[in-house]
Amino acid sequence: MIEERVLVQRALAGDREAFAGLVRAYQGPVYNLAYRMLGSPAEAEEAAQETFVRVYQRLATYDPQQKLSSWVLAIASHYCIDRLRRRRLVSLPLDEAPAQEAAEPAEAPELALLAQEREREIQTLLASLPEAYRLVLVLRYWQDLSYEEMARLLGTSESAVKARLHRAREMMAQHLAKRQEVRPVRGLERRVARHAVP
Amino acid sequence: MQCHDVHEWMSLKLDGRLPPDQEREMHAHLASCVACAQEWATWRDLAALFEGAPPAEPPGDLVERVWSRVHARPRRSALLSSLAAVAVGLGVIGALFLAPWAPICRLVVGTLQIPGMLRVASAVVGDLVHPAAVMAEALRVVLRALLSPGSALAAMGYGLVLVAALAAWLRVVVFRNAGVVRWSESRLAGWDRSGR
Repeated sequence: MIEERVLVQRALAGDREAFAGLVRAYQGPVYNLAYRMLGSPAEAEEAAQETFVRVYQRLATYDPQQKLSSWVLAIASHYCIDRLRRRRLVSLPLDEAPAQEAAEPAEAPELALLAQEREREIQTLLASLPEAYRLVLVLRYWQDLSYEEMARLLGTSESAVKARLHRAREMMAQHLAKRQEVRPVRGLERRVARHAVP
Repeated sequence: MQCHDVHEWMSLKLDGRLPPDQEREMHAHLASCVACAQEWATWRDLAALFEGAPPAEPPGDLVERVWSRVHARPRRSALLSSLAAVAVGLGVIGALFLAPWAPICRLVVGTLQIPGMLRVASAVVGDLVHPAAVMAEALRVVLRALLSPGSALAAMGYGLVLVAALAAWLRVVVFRNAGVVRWSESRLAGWDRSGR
């Protein structure tokens, strides 16, 4: 915490290495949040870059009482939601979020294929949700934040976070049920889920 | 106990926030309600799918890319952005109102006995400004035609100009600096309630 404050002070004074330290510390969480929110590595990279540019530009307004990680993730969340809204304005349907790019070849092609399938399934499910519901799920599963931390980051109450998570799960289950009416894929989802947990 | 209450508990259970006594009640309900038991199985599958997904790896050169973008775009305060937006707006309005005076200015400059280089410089500036003044004059004529009182177009014209000005101001000054999530929050509060 103190180390972070020192890094922020030094970055504000124009120390390139200090700012690079901040980027290195938070590039993982920011990139992951952007990837799960936007659905493609290229867009996630663009979003991560823009987030850190904004962090640099707004560093002087950072309140040291606030957790730096929450502040950085809030900037990333705002940017992703803004980007998704703009994407919706150019009428890209939610179900057609950019597909996952080909994964790196793994040792076993069967496992690689399964991992790709699982990724596509996750991104399709996330893309079926309105942005704010997608965001709480991403914060819960990929940032491992508590209700309290999510509420602070989103500027809302814990009960609203709880309700939003509950609603997001209901919506995803409804989405799956609707899909099964069109084509029964339950078996596949079960297999994917089983492989997901060792 | 209603199925909806059980769904709330199921969500809390997946987040590790359900007290043991409620967990017992939840499982008792699931044992007797097929619909909720199916829903619970789906929710657990989804949770397992998400929890099993490995984190995505950021590109190795992110720091360098960020740094080059930081230098390509110098720090700019919200106040400066707002002032720039206001200055551009005032510039456009000023050009519109000063357009009819451009020929008079040229005439005045022409009649003045300005010596040497200064005269050449004023002529060059005059030539550069002239096309802009003509365009501004044309725009002014169109706007005047749109906003002429008594016409059916007048009300529409006023409305359009007002809405466009307001939208531009909101976009440039308010949303650019405040972000959009706060706006979404109030809308979401409604969604949360309706989903209950």
